[in-house]
Amino acid sequence: MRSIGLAAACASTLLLAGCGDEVSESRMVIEAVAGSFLSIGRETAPVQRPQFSRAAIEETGQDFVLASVPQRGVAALLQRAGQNGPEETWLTEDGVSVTYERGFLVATRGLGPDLMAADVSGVLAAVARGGGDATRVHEYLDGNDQMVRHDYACRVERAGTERITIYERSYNTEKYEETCRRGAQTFTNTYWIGAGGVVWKSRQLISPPVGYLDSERL
Amino acid sequence: MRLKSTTILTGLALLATAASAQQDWRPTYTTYGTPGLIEMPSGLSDPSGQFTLSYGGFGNHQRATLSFQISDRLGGSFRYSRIGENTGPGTDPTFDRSFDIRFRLVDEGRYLPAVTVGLQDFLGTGLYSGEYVVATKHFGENLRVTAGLGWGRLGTQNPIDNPLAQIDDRFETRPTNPFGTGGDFGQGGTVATDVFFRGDASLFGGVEYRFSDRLTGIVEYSGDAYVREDRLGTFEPSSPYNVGVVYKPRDEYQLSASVLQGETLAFSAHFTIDPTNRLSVSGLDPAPIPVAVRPPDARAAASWNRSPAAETALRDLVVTALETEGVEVKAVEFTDRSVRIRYANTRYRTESQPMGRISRILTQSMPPAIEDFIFEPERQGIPLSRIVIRRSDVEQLENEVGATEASFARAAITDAAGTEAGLVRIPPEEGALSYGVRPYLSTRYFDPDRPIDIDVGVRASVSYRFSPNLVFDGVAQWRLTDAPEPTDSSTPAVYPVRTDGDRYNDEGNPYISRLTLAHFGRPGTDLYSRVTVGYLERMYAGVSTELLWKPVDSRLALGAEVNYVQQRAFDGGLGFRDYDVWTGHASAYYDLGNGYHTQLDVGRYLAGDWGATISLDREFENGWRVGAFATRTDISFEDFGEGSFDKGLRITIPTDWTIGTPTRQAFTLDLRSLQRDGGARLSVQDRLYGVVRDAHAPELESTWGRYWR
Repeated sequence: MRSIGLAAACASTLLLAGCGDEVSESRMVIEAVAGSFLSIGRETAPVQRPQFSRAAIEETGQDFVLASVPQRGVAALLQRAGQNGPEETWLTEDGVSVTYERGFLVATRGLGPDLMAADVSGVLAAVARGGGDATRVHEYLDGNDQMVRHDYACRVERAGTERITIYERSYNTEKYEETCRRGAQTFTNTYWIGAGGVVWKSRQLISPPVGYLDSERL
Repeated sequence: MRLKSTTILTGLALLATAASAQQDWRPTYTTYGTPGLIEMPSGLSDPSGQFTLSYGGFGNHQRATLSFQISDRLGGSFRYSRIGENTGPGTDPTFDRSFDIRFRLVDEGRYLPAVTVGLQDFLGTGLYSGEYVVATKHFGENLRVTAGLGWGRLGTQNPIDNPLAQIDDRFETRPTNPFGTGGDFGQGGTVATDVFFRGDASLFGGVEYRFSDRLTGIVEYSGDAYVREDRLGTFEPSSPYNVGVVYKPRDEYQLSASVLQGETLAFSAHFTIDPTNRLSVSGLDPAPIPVAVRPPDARAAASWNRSPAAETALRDLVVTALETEGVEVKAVEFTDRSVRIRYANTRYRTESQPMGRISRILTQSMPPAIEDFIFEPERQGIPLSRIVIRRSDVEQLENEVGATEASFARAAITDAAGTEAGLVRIPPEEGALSYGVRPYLSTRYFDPDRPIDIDVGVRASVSYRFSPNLVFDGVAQWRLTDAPEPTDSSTPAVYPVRTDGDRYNDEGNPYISRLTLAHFGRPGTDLYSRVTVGYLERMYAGVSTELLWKPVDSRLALGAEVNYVQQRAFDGGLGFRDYDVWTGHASAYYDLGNGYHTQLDVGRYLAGDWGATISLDREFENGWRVGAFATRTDISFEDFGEGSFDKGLRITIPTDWTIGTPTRQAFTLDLRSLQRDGGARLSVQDRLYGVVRDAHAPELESTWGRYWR
């Protein structure tokens, strides 16, 4: 099956190969279509945590976030690319960006069913209070290019203290769980928050099709 | 920008709605590809906007159907059927095109059934013609019952007297046609209002029982006794009952098998597409670069270092940076507090998305004093609109809930005519000349004598831009596949302005398909113009002129086109034939809202006939379009020939919907009735309305969500 697919893709590439500057776009389409057919049925492997030492991180002199999407079996190192007030945008090499407001996820780009924007001010306040009820708003761009708004009713609870280790460095954190509900849809975000309110580690929902984003500050 | 309360996000929809039995048990489909039982329609409808592709039938009756739910209540189908042994055992098959239309009158309630009235094959040659009123009601989770009354083809099983005859005697008898389905449609194509719901009627109905989410069983009492086939001896039904099973491996697929009329096995396969359900959801476009925010004190600066060297350096930076987003910068103007960019977007389907991308790049690269970003999207060398976006708004709204509405509300959209002063032109990087040689593939579907015609060959093109809005274009093609045998299907009353088409394929190879000089202009505010001179298309050469009035924020546009053309020689060279004509139209375009667009063209057609074309399209914000058009001119149905008048369907599927990554390409399928000589129009490149509207307020608003993507 795979070889037939490949042969067909090659044949169609040949068919559309030509010369001159009007050709590149159709070739691009053919390659993308062929690529998407070939990737059907490809299995997602469990996320491989990249292996490197704390010394290697420190040698670069830069900040990193290690982020992974378990449902897609992908992980990447993100570098800081922008700052807008309390919002920080981090970028992968292959064109995915993730934006946090004080460690709370407010946007992603480049994943398909992206989180376009989020209002987490209520949740931030609830965490600052040590727990409580909050509303949370997500915006998604649907398949018809329309923005859809989801309002969630959430409950933030302290789930004890935990000592976590991220690449040889350990932090004392308070663990918070935020359970949100909108109709029949529920999800739970988890945050490990250290001294000074730094979110060292978290699991936060991007969108139902993509699932959660696991983040660690390195 | 409207916010939809319902969601199409995969996964959310299923989780969020407490699904009732009626909602999650979608209609099954007939061998005719319509919502129904086995061969009989039901009272149910598809969800609005859904496409259904079907292939079904048995032995001598093979039917390929494309259905579209035009609105919540209105549905339509186009069908291409192969009917074997058409005039008796051992005779040749015929290929037949037919159209259905159906309207759901009553929604299903606690007590009321869903009721639909429909016309089957109401425009074609009448082989499958029939009308019906049908009701369907669910009982519990897994049972639904359908009962209806049919006329025409659907009224041939143990016929009863037409109950409508109680109202009016004229309903008693149905004018007959050679097919025995009632209705003398002659050449086909006319709406046979004088046969609808006339003559004998039959009761039909059935029961569907759902054994599991995937498996449904159906028993049906058919209203169609296959009277004509029985008489010809090509199919002899022995029972009015049909029994079948439906297997649904996934929501989008349905496979059916049934025993028809106690005689034969029938199979059908159905595939549904919801255009609003894009596989990549928001798309697989890579992330944009983030917004850079100016420090508060820097914002207040009244100017910046505007030395010529600094401006040149900044201009070069804009050109290179925007190139990374597939944006060709055509001209730039700097002032103390603004930057104005005239550009052509070559990558993104919408004009909204590149504006968002450019905005972010500009926040990163412009001196802090620059507060206004002025966008002037350009096509064919003319500016289409002017959108002013404040840098402070971009800084403030990034990543904010409600940013889509807010940023559109704060953008100022005006006309861009007469704004050349101050712009510094950027010479095109690749020069004024471009050319290419490549293979081409074009297809034509559903001709009466063959389902598909594939044309493969080589195309060479050359283009030279004398100035941004004056372009020379030449295209030559060499067909490698055999051309179809020319057939003379013209009628004596009309000059063969199009039916000669096959002779061009037959006698001219290779051939010049186009050789034109085109000028585009902005003669005034809200006005756009085009003059095209030369070999305009395969069959005609001459002059085509067009003027369009389209204010940037208007739903209405008005246009006028006047052409004088001479018919080209069959050999595809530069010669002519002895036929010339003045042709042209006055056109009105209107955006009806909710995605519906209409167009009316009134004028003189290629054969010198006078008339009008009306079209209606449903356009999705993600670029899908489906539409229908019909043309009536002063040529009579008889003189027109088969089909009676020109009409067709068209479907556009944007390529970015299919592959997820941005591209401006789209796939368009034209299903027109047989191209004949009445109501034929000149085929000219780049008619203005399509060139202009993407950058105007209504289109920008409906796609503004992509500004932040």
